[in-house]
Amino acid sequence: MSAGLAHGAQARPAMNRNTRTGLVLAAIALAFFLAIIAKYWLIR
Amino acid sequence: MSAVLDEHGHGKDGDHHGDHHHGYGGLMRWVTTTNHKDIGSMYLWFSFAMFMVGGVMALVIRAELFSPGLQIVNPEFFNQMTTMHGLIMVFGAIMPAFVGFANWLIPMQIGAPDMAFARMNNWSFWILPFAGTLLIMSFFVPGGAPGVGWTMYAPLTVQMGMGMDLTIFAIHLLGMSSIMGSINIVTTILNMRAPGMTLMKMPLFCWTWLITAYLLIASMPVLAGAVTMTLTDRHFGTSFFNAAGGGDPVLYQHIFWFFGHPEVYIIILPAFGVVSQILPAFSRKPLFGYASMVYATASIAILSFIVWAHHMYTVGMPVTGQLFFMYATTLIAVPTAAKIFNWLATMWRGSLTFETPMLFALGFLFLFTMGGFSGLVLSLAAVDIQLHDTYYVVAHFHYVMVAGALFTAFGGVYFWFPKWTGKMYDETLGKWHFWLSMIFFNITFFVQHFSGLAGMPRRIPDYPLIFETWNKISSIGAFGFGLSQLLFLYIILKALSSGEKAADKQWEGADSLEWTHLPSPAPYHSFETPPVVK
Repeated sequence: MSAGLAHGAQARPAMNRNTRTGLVLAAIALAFFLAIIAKYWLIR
Repeated sequence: MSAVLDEHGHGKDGDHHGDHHHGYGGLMRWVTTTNHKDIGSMYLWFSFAMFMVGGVMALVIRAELFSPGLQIVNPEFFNQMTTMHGLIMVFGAIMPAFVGFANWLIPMQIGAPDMAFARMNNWSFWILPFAGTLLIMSFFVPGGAPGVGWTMYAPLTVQMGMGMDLTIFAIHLLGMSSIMGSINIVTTILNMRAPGMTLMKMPLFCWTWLITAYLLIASMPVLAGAVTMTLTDRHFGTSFFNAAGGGDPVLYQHIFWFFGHPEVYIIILPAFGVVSQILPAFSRKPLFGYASMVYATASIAILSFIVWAHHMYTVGMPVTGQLFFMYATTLIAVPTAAKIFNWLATMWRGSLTFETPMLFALGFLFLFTMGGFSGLVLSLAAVDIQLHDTYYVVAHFHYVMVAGALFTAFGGVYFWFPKWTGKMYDETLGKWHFWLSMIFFNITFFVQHFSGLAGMPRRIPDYPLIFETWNKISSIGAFGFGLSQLLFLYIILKALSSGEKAADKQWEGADSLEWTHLPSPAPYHSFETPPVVK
């Protein structure tokens, strides 16, 4: 882990990295939401 | 944690250039702000407002229960009060309070300039007032607010009026806010730590929030799924939980508690983090067993996903199921006890002083341990079948939620108030606030163990004469506790208006970055140049 990438001139790569981390986490949350409904809707 | 700082070129003076905000003034500053400190303050004020609203509801409940018989409210309204009190306190008061702490502290403690997604941070907060409004609006629609209990069990939820729909949408909004906040916290901690600030050098508050945020990301969508299925059962002809259509009401309980038990730890883990900052500071010693605290926190979080059915021993589950959930639940006592002993060892032979934050941390330690033990009692299936849905359970979770989470939040506010505002609160009044809260809390809730053991059910507006004495004592305590919190508001407002100037390092033993590297009050923009942590 290279900490502190959001600082100063290196802000741009950190932004991409933050976005990537955020999207992965959002995808996990969305998957849990859809999976719990799909499980009991489709697989009963 | 004990971070050693490289002072060269990264001192307090270097941060003074950014101690004011640019852009809108007045109300629009708060609407449009993306600053983590502004947003943290808004979270804390919002949670206090919700705490007052939920507190008034608690007092309506206790006023009705002062005497047997129906005096003040009708049973339907009483049920609405218990439901909304629970929902508002859990989702509107305690959770946002600790998100407020996270916003204020995590960037400062890891040496970051702000949260990773500053605009999303603004959105995360501003969803909350709309969700809170939806919850309160449910009182004014036909049928009133839902009277289903904060757990929103089916099939009652399928039968409720329009207030249930508003509550479901409010839960959706609150869930979205929590998930966005969690994504922000995880990303900030993983990607934006200052050079040298390894994960195992972070203050324990950051660790507890990192783990809590993962819990939220995994459990909140499950609650959202459960209430969405409730919504489709109500309006779109599905039968997930509606037995009349072949659905299973017990299924709802499983799904809800798969969220609900991690939720308990979502509330209490950040409180553990706050205590882990306060106790070492006033013991003037480093936290004992830092690494074991991190592992214990992670263990509690993992175990929290495999214990959910201990909330529903009485639904008729197989004995093997009861045994599994009983053993898994008692297992949580191991890492929790490790934390308790580590806190005690931190204080052992320390140079202790007892300012208000320390008093609240010690109050937490004493009362949370009691709440933990009554939880162990309830984890035993054979005992729980007797005590299920009695006031013993009410006493247990208020020892965890109020004495555990709320006392810690008070302690945290007193601890960081000098850093946030640059002003000191009145120490004498702070101690009064602690002792009044401590005494009235125990008057309110300790006696509920007795009424519960004697068999008084929860969520009833009327009760047999045999329970009268305990209920009278409990109601007197509740009004005393409620009034004591007005003193807290007075202390904060007095300190804001005329508090003495606080020192940059107000607490001698505090050693995290916000104390060692930033002035008081912390500048509006801090750590634009990252500190180097050795």
